[in-house]
Amino acid sequence: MSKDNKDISANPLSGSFGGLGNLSDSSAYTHTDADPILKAAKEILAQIPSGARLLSILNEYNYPIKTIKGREITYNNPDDKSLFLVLPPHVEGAPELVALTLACGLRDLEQGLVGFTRPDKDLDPVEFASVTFSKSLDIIVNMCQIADELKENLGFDKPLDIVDDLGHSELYKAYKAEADHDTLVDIFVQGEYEESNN
Amino acid sequence: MSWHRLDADKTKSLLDTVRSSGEAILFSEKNNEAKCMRLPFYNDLLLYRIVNTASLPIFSMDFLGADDGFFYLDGSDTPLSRVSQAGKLQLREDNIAAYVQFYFYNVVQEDGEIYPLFMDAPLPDLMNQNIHASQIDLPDGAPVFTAQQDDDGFSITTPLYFGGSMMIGAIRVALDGAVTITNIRPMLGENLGGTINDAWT
Repeated sequence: MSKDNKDISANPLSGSFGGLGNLSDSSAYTHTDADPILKAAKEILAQIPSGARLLSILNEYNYPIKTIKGREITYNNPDDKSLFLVLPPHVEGAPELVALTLACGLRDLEQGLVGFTRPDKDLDPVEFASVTFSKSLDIIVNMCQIADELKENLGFDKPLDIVDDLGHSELYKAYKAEADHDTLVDIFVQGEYEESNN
Repeated sequence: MSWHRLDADKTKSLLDTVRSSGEAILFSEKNNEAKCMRLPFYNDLLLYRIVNTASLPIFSMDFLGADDGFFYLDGSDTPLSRVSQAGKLQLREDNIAAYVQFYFYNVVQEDGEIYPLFMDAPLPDLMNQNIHASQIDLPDGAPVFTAQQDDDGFSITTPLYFGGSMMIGAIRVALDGAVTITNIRPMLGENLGGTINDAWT
């Protein structure tokens, strides 16, 4: 779908970038209500088994968690050692979604702890894709587990809606059916194939 | 209106400019690519997207940029308002659909996810690498986006995605870019094949 134009001869960017005003201030990206939002998310995670386990890792290794404002709720783990949560406006009304996102980010950090680190960009492309695929599948299955526990234990519906919105409903069904790893891989491959052909 | 990838020097300049001390690691040159796009309703201003290619899931940050500053699109209407106040916005009948698409893409609504639906999106590349890329399509015969201009702005009726359903929305866009949803109602089967204004009768 992208129509990236590598011909930069027509690049309209020109001149200096000029002053930035408040953006040069580190607080410009920070979500103003981050502390209570994060606190609420952790309190929710503490009430489900998978969430409590991930929080124990956070507490043991004291990973820094930062928050920035953004359009969509998501996370970024730039170096396997720190976590950025992206929080959109009004997200305080859905702390269970922050909990789900935090759990995905913590799982990402946990992968690094056990040596399952992000692939280097200089890696052989096939191996890079393989590692990326494995890491993604692991995080998505973890997301299914967290969303399921949030529904079953605490009655939250929205996390499962997000799983569905992201196109992982078949993986969730397989997770619920206790499918083996090979089956999960097959479903994930099929989903990626269909998405790339849409 | 498509993306232009920035070369290494301009990418570095952009990253250096928008980097903050607290989040510097997000803006490393090693892991980020940058691109820009013209938007038909802004003068002397481009949309910039920084994409972290090493992260899972793909992570991007958007900015509106001009020689006199950059505005991080943070999900609120503040950056769009500031750009409008700077005199960069020029709404016309031939770009209002693109603006409405851009507005709802960038401004998170308190009532949840809302965005207009188009048979052919005016800014088809905008949602690239976004969760909305898998958004629902309009059924055949569905009403389409219409806009009527008056002295103060535009009165718009458009199909909307709202709360997991297809709806029809009445929207008011002021000339300064402020957007107000004045009415929403379900898109019913009887609306298909009719004009969008039939939905209000």
